[in-house]
Amino acid sequence: MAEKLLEIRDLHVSVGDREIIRGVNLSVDRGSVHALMGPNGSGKSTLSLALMGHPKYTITKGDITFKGQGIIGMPPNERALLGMFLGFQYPAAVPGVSVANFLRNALMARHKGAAPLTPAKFKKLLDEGIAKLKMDPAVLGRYVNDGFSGGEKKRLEILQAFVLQPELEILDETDSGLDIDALRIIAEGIEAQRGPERAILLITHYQRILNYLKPDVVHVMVRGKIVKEGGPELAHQLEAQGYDPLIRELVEA
Amino acid sequence: MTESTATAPISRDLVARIGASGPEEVLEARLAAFDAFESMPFPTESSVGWRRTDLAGIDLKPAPPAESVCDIGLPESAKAAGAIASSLEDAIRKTSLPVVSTVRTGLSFRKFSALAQSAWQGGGYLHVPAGADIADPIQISWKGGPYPRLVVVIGKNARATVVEQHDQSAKYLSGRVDLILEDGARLNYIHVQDCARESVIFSHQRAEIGRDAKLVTLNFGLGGRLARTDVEVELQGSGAESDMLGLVFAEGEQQFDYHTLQGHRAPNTRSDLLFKSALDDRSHSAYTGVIIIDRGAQRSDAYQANRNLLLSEGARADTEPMLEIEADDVRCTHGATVGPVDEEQLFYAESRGLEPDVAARMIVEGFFGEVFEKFGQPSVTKLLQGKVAPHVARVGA
Repeated sequence: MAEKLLEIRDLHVSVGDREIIRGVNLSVDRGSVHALMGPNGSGKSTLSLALMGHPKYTITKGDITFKGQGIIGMPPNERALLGMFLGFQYPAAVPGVSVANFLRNALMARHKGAAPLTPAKFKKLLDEGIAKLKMDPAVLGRYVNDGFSGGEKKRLEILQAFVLQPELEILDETDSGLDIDALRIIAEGIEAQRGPERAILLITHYQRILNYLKPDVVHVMVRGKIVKEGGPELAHQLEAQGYDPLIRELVEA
Repeated sequence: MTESTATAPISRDLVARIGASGPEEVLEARLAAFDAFESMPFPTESSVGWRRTDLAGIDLKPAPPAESVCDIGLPESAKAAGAIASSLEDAIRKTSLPVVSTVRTGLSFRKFSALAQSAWQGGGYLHVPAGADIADPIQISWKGGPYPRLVVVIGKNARATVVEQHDQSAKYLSGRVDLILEDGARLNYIHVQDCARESVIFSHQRAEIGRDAKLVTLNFGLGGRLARTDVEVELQGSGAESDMLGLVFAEGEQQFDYHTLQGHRAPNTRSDLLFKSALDDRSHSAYTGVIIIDRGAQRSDAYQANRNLLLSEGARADTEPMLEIEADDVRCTHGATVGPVDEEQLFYAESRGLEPDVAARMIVEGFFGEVFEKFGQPSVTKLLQGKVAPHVARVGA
């Protein structure tokens, strides 16, 4: 049996005194790709930020384990060092800090104690990622996300995953706001990360990225709960019928 | 404190004696400046322009005049290009130089700057002749007296970089700088204020920029218990431009008070100001930024941004833009921010594995780095980055 990389049990998350996640159970095996779908406002982004330890989100109940280790209360940087990665839907701009410098700092944090990459190897790694994602090499000298277009931001998130090689990638709407060419390039970039050592939790509103990136499991989240699970065919069904039938079902139940 | 004791170390007679060795018109300018100094009341916390300053425990009493020795390091390339460096007194004696008119103009309406204009001795003068293109930076440093006065003239179409450094340990310093850019000239000027932490420091810089000339300034403030700096740029010729950068790192009980003027006096002029301060402990920054666009300065473009990073709960920053725009076909934008290191930036960096204090330092370094990068010339700003580094190292620690 495959190793359970991420396990979420009866998770409740609040922002202020408003409960957004209301009892989520979800488990992700190493080597698998999961899609978490759902209408806007269903709590998908809240779940991703809570998984990474954003201070604004309070876990009021439940449990999260990563590699068998409970991570609630663990600082975000320690989660990252343990192998978690969040591709942000709205990544922050960091003026004055170049992409190259930011990535160097992140790699140095990751190699704590061990010898970091030589400058030549670091450059080679970046060049490779930039070529794969068809980015302009000048991006390395630009300030992190500062003045970036939506598509540029999404590519930079995937570039960071490529450089940091995490074990779990949580990608929050990495496919939103992209034109069809950018979507394909980014999907291919994510597909290239797929492997037996890694799991990907792809959070998306639409089915279209799943044309390039076939998930093993699809979860549907509505109003802070997982309401349906299935294989890739579930995504197609949602694409054809929308979320409405599911929401009606939920109301009638 | 009464006025008579406050001004005791200096008098009209003393100014007259100081100016007696120079030409009559300079003496007149000195006396006019002294009269202006005397006519303005000693500031209190309720005086206009001082309301945000905490004067408790700060002695504004001027220091007795003494000679300020200006060391202007002319690189070989500057000498070869015909640049002239001397004391301001010597320059005035050589009537061939365009200096007397500069010394006479720009009478300050700032009390302590007026004092500097009246009581300076020695001083510094730099002239870069028309057409000269000097790549190597010209380093200027000061020794001695409390009233350093510098005049820099960049001739037509000449280019130069000047770094003026103040690291005196005097308790009181009031300096004045005049930068004159003739048509088509280009000057990059850095003012480094790294004086003793207990000093009271006044600095008044005034620039006149001719047609199609461009001035880029970087004011770097680290020292002083109270540092009050006025940076005035007068865009006098059509097509004149100025980038005005400022960077402060304050800690302890330090107070920085910056007043800037972007004066658009001619059409098609452009100014772009970015002043940033990072404030730790119980330090305080007050910023007042004035933009004036005269009626005749159509198609001018002015931008002003003041960014303040509060690194501790006791730190404070006040910021106030003041716009006087009389022309109608212009662009004028301003913005200001005051706040701690952004939580979303921190979380973003931490989610990549950076420890919180490392993330904060990287963000603060970036906060400064943006200004250095805007100035360009990394070989010149390296010195400043080195001065900032130990302060950044304290962040989050």
